[in-house]
Amino acid sequence: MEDVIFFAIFMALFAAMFTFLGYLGYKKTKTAEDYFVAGRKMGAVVIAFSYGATFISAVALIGFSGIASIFGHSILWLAFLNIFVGILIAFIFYGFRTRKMGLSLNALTLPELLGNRFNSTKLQSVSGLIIAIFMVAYISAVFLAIGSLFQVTFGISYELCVIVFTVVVGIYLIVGGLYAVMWTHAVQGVLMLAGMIILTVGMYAMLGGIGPAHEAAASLTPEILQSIGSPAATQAPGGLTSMPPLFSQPFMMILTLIFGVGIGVLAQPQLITRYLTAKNEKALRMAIPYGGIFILLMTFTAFSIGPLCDVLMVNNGIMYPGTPDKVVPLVVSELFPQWFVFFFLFAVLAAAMSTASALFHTAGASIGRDVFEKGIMKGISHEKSIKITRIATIVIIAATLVITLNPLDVVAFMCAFFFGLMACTFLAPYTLMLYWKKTSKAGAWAGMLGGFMFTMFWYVLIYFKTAPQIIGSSMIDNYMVNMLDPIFIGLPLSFVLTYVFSILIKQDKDEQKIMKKSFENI
Amino acid sequence: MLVVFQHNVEIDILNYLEEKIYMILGMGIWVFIAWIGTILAAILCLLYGVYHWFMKSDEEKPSEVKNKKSGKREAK
Repeated sequence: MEDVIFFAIFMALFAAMFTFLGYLGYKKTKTAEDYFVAGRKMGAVVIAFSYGATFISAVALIGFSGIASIFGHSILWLAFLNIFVGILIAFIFYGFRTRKMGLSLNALTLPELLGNRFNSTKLQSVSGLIIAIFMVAYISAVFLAIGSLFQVTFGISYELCVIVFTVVVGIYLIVGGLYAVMWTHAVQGVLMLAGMIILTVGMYAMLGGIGPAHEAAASLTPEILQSIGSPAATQAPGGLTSMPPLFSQPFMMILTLIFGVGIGVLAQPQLITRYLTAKNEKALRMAIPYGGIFILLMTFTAFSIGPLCDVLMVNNGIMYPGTPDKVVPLVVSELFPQWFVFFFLFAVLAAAMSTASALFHTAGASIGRDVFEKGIMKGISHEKSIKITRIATIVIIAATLVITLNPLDVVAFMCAFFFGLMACTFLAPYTLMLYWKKTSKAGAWAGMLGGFMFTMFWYVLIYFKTAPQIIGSSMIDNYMVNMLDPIFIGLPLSFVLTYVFSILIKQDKDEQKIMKKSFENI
Repeated sequence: MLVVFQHNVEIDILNYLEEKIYMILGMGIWVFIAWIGTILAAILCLLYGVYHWFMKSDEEKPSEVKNKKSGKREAK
C-alpha cells in the first residue's frame, strides 16, 4: 500500500512538472518551426541532453545491462561506438552539414530534408510512413518493458501503468511540441545521470573498487554461474571480462548487437531532428563534450555493472531471474536501500519517457507534415500544419496504447530491428546527399527502397531472432550468417544502389538547381 | 631455430602482458581496449569542446542567416 502511495505521489509530481514545461512550450510555439525544431533556438546543453536522453532508453539501461550480465564486458565495445560514432562522428560529419542543408532547404524533418533535396514529395511521404509505422512498435516495446517493471515493483496493474505513462507523455508533447520535449529531456537526463552514477558507484563500492570488482567477475567459473542459473555459464565461455572466442555464437551475438546499434545510430530520425534545433553551429559543436560525457555516464556504467550483478547474485545467493532485463532491477531491489530502489525505477521511467516523447514527436511529424501536409494536403497554412501534426500525434499515441495494452510478439521483434532498419533504409541516401553533389532522386529511391526491402527480407526469412517467429525457422542454418545484423549486408547494398542509380539516372535541371542551393552554406 | 626462439619469446611477452593486464584490471586485453577506448573517446569529446571554446566564435555566413530569417517569415 505504501508503495502505491509513493508511486502516486511521485507520478503526480512528474506529471505536474512536465505539464508545466508543456505549458511553457505551448506559449512559445507559434510557428511550424517552433513545433518541429524548437524554433532552431536550442543551446548546447539542451541539445546534448535531449540527444542523449532520446538515444538512451530503458532498453539501454536495464536491457543491455542484463545482456552484459550474460555476455560479459565485451559489450563495452558498444559503449565505445555509442560515443565515438554516436557523438563524435554523428555531430562532426553529419550534424553540421544536416543543419546547414536543413536551413538552406527549409526542412524540419529528415523525410522533408530528403524530399526537398531530391525535389520529391513522394520520397518525403514514403519515408515518413516507414518511420511512423516502425516507430509505433518501438515505442510500444519501450512502454511494455517499463509497464511490466512497475507492475512487478509496485503491484499496480500493467494497464494502469501504461495508460498513465502514455497520457503524461502525450499531454506535454502535444501541447508543447519540441520545446516541451527537449526541456523535459534536460530534467529527465539529470534524473537518469543521478540514478546511474549512484548505482555504479554503489556496486563498485560493494565489491571493493574497480580492480577487485572486475577480478571477482573474471573469477566466476561456468560452474559458479550455473549455480545461480545464469545463462552466462554458456554464453560467456571466455569469462565475463574477456571476449568470447572469435566467431563463436556468443561472439556473433555481441557483433550483431554492437554494430546494429553502434552504426545504426547515425540514421535515427529522432536524433537527426536534434541537429536541426541548434541556434547556431557553435551550439552544435559545444553539444559534443556534453553529449560525450552524458553517453559515457549512461552506457559505460550500464554495461559495466552487468557482470557485476552476477558477482553480487553469487555473493548473496540470489538466483538469476529468468530474463536479462530483470537482472539489474532484481539486484537493486535486493541489495540497495528502499529509497534508491524507488529513485532508480523513476530514473528508468525517465529514460523510457524521454525516448518515447522524442519518438512520438518524430512519428507525429512524419504523419502530419511528411505524409499529410506535403503529400496529400499540399499548400496548407503553417497554423494548420501544427494542428494536423497534433492530431496525427494523438492518433500515433492512441495506436501505441492499443498495441501496448494488447502486446503481440511482433512488437518485441520490431523493436529489436528498428535501428538496423532505419540504418539500411536511410543512411546511404542521407550520407551521399550530404557529401556527393551528384546524388540523384533515382539513387535516393533505389538506396532507400533497396535497403528497406533487403532488411525486411532478412528479418522475415533469415534473422535468428525474428524468422522463427514468422516462418517457423531461419532459411539459413549457419549461425554465422543468420545471427548477422542486416546492416552488414543491407547498408553496403544501399550505398551501392544509391551510387549506381545516381550514375545511371542523373539529376534533371530542377534537381541540379536545388542541389546548388543545398550546398550554398556548406 | 633462432626465428622460432624469437617467435616464442614474442608470444611469451604478449601472454605475460595479457596476464598482467588481466590481473591488474581484471579484464582480457580486448575488453580492456574497449574499456579504455570508451574513456578516451569521451575525453576526445571534451578536448574537442575545449579546443572550440577557445577558438574565435564561428560567424555564420550571411546566406545562412538570411535563409533562417526567410524560413521564419514563411512560417508566420
